Amino acid sequence: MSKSLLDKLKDFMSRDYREQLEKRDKLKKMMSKMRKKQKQLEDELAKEYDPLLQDELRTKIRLLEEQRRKGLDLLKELREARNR
Amino acid sequence: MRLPPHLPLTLALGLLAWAFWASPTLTEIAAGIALFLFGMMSLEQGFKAFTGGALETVLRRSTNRLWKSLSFGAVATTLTQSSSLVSVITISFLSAGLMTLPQGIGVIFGANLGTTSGAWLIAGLGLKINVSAYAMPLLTFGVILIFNKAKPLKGLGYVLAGIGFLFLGIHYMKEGFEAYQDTLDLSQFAVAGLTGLLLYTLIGIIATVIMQSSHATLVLTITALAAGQITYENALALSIGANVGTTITALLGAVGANIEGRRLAGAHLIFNVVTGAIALIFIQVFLVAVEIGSGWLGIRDDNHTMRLALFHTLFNLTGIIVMVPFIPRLVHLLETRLKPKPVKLDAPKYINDNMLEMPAAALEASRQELIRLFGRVYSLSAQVLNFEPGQLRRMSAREEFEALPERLLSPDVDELYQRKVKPLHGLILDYLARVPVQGKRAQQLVMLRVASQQLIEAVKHAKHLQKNLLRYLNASNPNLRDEYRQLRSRLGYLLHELDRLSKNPEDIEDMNDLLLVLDDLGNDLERHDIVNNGRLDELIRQRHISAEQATSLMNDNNYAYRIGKNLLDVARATFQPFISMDSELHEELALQPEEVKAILGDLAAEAQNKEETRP
Repeated sequence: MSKSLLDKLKDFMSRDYREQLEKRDKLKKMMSKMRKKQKQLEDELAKEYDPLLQDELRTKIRLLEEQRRKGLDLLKELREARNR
Repeated sequence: MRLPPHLPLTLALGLLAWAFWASPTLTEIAAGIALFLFGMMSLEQGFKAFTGGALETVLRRSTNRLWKSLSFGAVATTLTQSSSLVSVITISFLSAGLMTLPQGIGVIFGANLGTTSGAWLIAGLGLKINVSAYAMPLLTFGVILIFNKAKPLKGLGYVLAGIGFLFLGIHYMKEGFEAYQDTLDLSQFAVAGLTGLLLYTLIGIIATVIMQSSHATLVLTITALAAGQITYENALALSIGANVGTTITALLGAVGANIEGRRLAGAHLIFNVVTGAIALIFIQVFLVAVEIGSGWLGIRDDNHTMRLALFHTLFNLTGIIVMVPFIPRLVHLLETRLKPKPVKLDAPKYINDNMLEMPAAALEASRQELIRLFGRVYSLSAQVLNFEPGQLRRMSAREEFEALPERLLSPDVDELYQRKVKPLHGLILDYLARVPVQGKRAQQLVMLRVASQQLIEAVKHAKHLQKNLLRYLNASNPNLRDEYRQLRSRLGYLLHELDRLSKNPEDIEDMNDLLLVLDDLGNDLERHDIVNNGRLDELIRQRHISAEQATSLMNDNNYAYRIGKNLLDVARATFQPFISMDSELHEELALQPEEVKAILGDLAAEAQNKEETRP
């Protein structure tokens, strides 16, 4: 069921709600930066022939993927909290 | 023969007591001045209550351009009616590095214009309206609010009571001079011509130095002028004197301040002396300008008080117009003439007690002081690893980190710690314990305290590492030697990178990028942890090193790991200004060591599978 106008106004006036929105925006920015960084590492990996450096790049990519996964979970949590 | 230390004060009090006994009117004027000054102190106290966050945020945002800092100085001084409060906050911000000297000078110039609003208020309202009628309710509301526990309400109470006392002070001064009018005619002491101008300017300077407030001198001048006790010309000279005299207050205040405070006081002095000189030299021009301005504003010919206010504003405005183009030169002059005293090794550079009342500035200064302490731990750790700190800073190619010096040295870690790290660390801890914080700032304070502890732990681990490192860097067993050399070069590289980031945080676009770089360095640290990546087991299995050597290597690897981890945590907490939400997000997204280990394990397994399936 969609929220009433009054509920929306109440949300808008609530400090917690505004903070959540700010957090979501910041998180989205961070995620986009991480995505760009991952893309850059993947490009480097495609051009790299040294197996040692390839391993290093693969590790970095995996770690970034994991961080982004955590970020997505957090975004989901924030969305659910706002809809509650 | 030495005079008793309290003799001047005793004499002054005795003289005042005699004067009060001799003249009840003088008592009234003096009480008026006392109430006025007390009102200013109360107002200052009240505004300090708001310095926990909002005021700082406003200050930071409204001073990033010259015109903004000028306007900010003028508006803030008009609102608070205290240029000294604005100066104190400006000095704190300068010292904490939150504001640059040109911005600070802008604020001070603006404050000089803002302070002229006092003359308008008194000349326009104070003398026409019975301000004491407003004083009573303001005092009552103010005192009731002061009893309140909530800081903002208490602050508001002080502000209201302060305005009440200001009004009451003006009332008593006015009454006193009006009473004098019947008994004594001060105007007979009026001196005409240039002598009068210079004499009254000097009196204005002396009165301001004694009362420590140009505002009070100006109010006194206006009330005396309104009562006809002094002539208009003499009042003009008094107001010029008050402007110059106020810098003495700033200079006295700057004696205990740090270099930034002294430079700002220097700028204040130069501005006011130049402005005063311009006003004195071109007084006839100003009088004509006041005449024209009065015509525009509809100020009557006999309304000398309003004309004085206009004169005060005009010559301060002229001062700003003349001096603003010279701000860059003024900054250069102050920076070359007033040099910081060589900082004693254990003396703090950023933190000082004046800032304790402004938690945001105090925490920012502590953060910078911790970066300074980081620099010392960096040097100590570099020496333990047998890198020359300056050289390590300049290295770039990986091979440079791997090269060993011709002769290995063993610096005395305890001595370095006692001399360079411990005293500054103690001062920072003591300071942090005294910063009054709550809410999110409390969280930041805890972060800074933990960071200071981590720096000390890094030193402790460096000391433990030193013993075997020196022994095994040139070990006869090539495998063991290589492991120790790699450990040294990796830690050296980490130190180099962290030092670079600490010195040039602006190289990094924003906080997110800094944290990505630090995460990268952290991942490197985890990947090269030979206990977890299986390297140590392999060395033992292949009998490349003995059991005893394996124990040493395991311990030393652990020390190196902990040095790196501690320093990385310090970097996360201190290298960028604290933004509560950002740090919260990064904490939530950061990978825990066990998560990193799990990923590294998965990758190792994948690599093995690939190896096995290869034909």
